[in-house]
Amino acid sequence: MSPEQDVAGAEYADRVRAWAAALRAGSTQTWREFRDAPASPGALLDRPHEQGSTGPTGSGPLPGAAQLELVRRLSVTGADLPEFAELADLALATSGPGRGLVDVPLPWPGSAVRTGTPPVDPEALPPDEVIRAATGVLVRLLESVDLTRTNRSSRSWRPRSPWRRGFTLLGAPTTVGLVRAALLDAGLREGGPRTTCFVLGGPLDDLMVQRWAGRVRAGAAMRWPRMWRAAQANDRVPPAIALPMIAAHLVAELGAERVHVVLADDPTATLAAVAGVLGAPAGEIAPRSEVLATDLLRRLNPALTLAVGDEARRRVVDRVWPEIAGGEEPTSLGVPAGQFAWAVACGERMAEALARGRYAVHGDPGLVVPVSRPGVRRAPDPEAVLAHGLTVVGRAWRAGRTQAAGGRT
Amino acid sequence: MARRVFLHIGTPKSGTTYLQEKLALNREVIAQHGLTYPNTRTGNHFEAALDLIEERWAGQREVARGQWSTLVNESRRAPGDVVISHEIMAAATSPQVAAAMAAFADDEVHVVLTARDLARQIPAEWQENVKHRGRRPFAKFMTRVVQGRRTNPDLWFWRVQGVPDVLTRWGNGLPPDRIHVVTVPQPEAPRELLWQRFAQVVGLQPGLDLAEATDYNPSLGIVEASVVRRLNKQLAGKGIPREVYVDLVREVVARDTLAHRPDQIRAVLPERRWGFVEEVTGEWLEWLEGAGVDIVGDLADLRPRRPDFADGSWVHPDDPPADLVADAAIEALAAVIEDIAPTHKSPVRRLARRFLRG
Repeated sequence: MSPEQDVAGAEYADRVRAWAAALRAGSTQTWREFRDAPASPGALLDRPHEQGSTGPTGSGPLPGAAQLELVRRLSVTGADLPEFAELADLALATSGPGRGLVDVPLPWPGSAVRTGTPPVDPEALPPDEVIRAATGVLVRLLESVDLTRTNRSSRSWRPRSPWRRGFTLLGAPTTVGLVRAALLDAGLREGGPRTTCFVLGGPLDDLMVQRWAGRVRAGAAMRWPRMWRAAQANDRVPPAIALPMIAAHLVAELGAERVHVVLADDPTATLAAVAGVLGAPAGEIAPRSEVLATDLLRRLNPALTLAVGDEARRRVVDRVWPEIAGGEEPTSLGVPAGQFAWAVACGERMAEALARGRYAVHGDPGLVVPVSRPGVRRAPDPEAVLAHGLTVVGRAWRAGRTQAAGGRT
Repeated sequence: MARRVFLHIGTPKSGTTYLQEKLALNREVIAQHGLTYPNTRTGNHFEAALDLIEERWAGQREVARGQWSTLVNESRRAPGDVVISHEIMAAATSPQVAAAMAAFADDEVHVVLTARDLARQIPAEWQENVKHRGRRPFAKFMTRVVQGRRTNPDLWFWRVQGVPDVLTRWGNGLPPDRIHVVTVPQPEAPRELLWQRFAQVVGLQPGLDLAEATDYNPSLGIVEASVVRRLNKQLAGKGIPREVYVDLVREVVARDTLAHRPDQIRAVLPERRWGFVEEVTGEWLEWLEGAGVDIVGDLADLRPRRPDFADGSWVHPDDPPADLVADAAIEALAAVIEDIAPTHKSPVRRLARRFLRG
């Protein structure tokens, strides 16, 4: 390396560290803005190595573009996060798990001659790379969660009404959870010897989203399109959402009079139908969207599993994940283009089988057949997943600080 | 610097016997290069692995009792890095893995998993099952594989072949860069390439002058597997002692005779099963990419290669040509007669025959 390159390299390193220090202090300036702005003479942020820090903003290895951009975006979205500088240190020092770009350098005048990963403007990085960096931070935050201090989801105790008919719910996994909670809250009894069975369903693409979310919560790392490719390869939907098969099995076990199939496209309508059969009051259920959280979790799963083990991962997902990853903007997800024709044919087969069944069907069996919905994405939007991921990192950080503060008192 | 302990835990039928034979053949040479492949009373680590995973294994468990501790003690005496290798370790439960890791708590433990594409593993495990007295036809074996649970599995196949599940059990708490997945090259690649990848992980220099292993565990073709499977059906319930079965069927018939027959017809999955293995593989690759473990080789090696079913050459593994099966059966019978001929008049052999006849 020539002396000129040495000097350029040192200037580059100083400037990157200065940007890291500025971001750590809460700046939201992009690299381009920061690099092109005149350096203020003598400013401490421009000479981070003089702060005595040995971290990413000090004399250690330079953080990569993804780590820096992650901190900048966290600063934009979570300016009020407690002890932000510590979160920034963690993010700057943590590599993203899995495969991707390695140690991406930032664009710098005169840096044309170099080997390795070419420089990328952090703002122009593919969102998947910043998500990967965020995933690394999430693994670190979640592996240190004290699960003995997290509460299991608790339901306020209500007296059960033993004279009311018991219920059993199967089918669409997320809807089952929501309706079940509402019925229990209303004082109804689950199971029992004379239980009435409900098979809950809706459009096939929504059923698949719910099944995908369930598989990912159970530890899978599969992408949304793979769910469909697997279903098409097997020429059947996953057994957990194969509504006619579930209903037929229940009829064989219990008799047709105790089996109801409920088809609706939102949980409130589903609850109304179920409650109507049971003679119970119905109420509103807020729809739950989980597309972005599921796509984030599937990226997190392998690294988190290796870090804490499968059992602990399950506990984290059961007890912590709903709190930190819930509440995303409602997002629909359509059938991937390659599987759409198969999905329609499969939905039609399901609808015909449901219409022929000896059980009661509430709702139109044709609802199961997926329809083309203009504007609906056929795969999760990485930018939206990243935006949600930043929120999740912020919540996990806040929860960790709260837990630490609780531990100190 | 902490000593490195490489635990090569599987998967079965991924060239492990070849690697272990090469390690054993070159034990002294690799020791000179700082890597110990600890010796045992049987020369390999099967008994220690069996002791660790506490499987009954046709009565072998009792024979193996205490061998894991013996191997650990032997490893601790090694001057440098150590490699422990047996594919049945892939079956270890989480507590058994924790016990294994505790035994090397002062060392830098690395987990090594050799992995081969699933479309080759399923037939390979089936014929291995046949060599262990299995009587199940391929179609039934395949159905069990397809229907079996792949996470927290009860089925042996998925317990040892489910790559994410095996790594979840063995990799818990290890940094991903200490978990090495060595992909087994596709068939046309030189066998040496698998060794080179493995050697790279365990820190052996490339180009070492090593003796080549010849005594590995080749798979049987569908004709040969059919002979052994039908033999197993004939022998079922006849009280044949394990030692006799191992000597005559597994070694004389299968390993020394049938496995060496030329032009074997390899078992290939039926066309309708390829979608299943391709999707399972796709899930595994997404998991491996997300986990960030050290991939040695190429993940593309794990993608099954669907054959051309249109050319009419595919034969169902349960339906090999009858004339070829008859030829193979006669070869096997001849091999057994040849094996027992020298001791035909011996009192031991006569006693054994009487015992076999009941």
